[in-house]
Amino acid sequence: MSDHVKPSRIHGKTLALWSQAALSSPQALIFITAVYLAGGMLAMVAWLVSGDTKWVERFFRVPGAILMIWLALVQVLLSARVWSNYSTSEPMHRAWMLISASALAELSGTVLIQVPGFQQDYGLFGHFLGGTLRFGLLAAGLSFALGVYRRAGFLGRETWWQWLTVAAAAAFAIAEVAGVVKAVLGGKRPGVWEMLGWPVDPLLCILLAQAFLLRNSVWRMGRGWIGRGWLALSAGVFLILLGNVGTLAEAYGYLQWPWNSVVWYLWIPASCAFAVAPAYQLDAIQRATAAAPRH
Amino acid sequence: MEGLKNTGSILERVLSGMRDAEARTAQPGQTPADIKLRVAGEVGPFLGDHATQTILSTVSPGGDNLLSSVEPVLALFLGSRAAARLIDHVVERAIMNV
Repeated sequence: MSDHVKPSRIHGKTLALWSQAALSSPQALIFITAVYLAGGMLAMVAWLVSGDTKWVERFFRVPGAILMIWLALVQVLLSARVWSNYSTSEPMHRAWMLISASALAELSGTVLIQVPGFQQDYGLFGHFLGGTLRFGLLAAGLSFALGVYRRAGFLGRETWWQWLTVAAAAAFAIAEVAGVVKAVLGGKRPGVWEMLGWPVDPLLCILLAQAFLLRNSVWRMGRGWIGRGWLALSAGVFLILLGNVGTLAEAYGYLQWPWNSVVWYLWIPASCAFAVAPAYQLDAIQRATAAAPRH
Repeated sequence: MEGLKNTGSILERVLSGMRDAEARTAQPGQTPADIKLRVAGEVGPFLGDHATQTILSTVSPGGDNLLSSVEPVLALFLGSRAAARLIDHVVERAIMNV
């Protein structure tokens, strides 16, 4: 009996360790996302050839939703592992605590928005979690990370075109605020969930400026293993902003159905970037730990 | 008499260790510049080339503050635990040249 049980325990343990290693590997995450995206592209080709938009709808309704939830879950688990690596007195402890909390907000929001059983009753709450709360926590976390770069003496500076981009985003956010104020003064009574969504655009402006600074700081240091995670986070922020531009284009009538579905594809690499960021950070930590002399 | 003999043998071991250390420093490949180069090779992949060069440029010619310059920066990004283990490795591979 015990001989029959032992081999399966060993195989089970090996499989668990292998899958844990595979799923925390940045390369594995990128590969899986690339496979999904390829499937999504095939769905788009099928739509263009057949004229039936259901191909794209079906892709995002189930396989796409599963991928988004899985990537969000991976981001939470890996961010928490990175966070646990630092003691409470270390500045990166606060950075990764907030990034982990942001990841949890995103996971919760994604589940409430994507899972059909929750969508109807909790969809708006899901948008708040995955929007304002997520971006607020992320901005707070990145501010601590940038503080570490400043303390190390390697904080980058924004270039003129980056300042211009941030200024353009800020001008748009201010225009949005002005529009809201005008509407409220004109008698509009926004709902609670609508008001809770107002900080999203200003937060995205802050995240854009932070992503530029992070990217420049990593380049300033010379792109070592430590910088890859922060580069991935920056890339995630840029992709979210690009997706937001697409969403706004749709809202203002510049991008109509079914062509606005092209924007949906941006959320996939964005989610991958946020999952890969803690994976790269863990990789750097594990390389440092594994380098220890064997006694 | 036994105590005096023990003190003498301890002193001999200390003096022998100091002579060995001086002899190692005088050997090719063990000068402060060589050690800095090896340290750069170990920590460069983590920090990045430019950061490594910038940090090592602040190290004194004798290399006295080599580890105290590198470890705090590693600790900021990797955490003190991982940084300490990496520094252990750096000491063994790059400084002791084991």
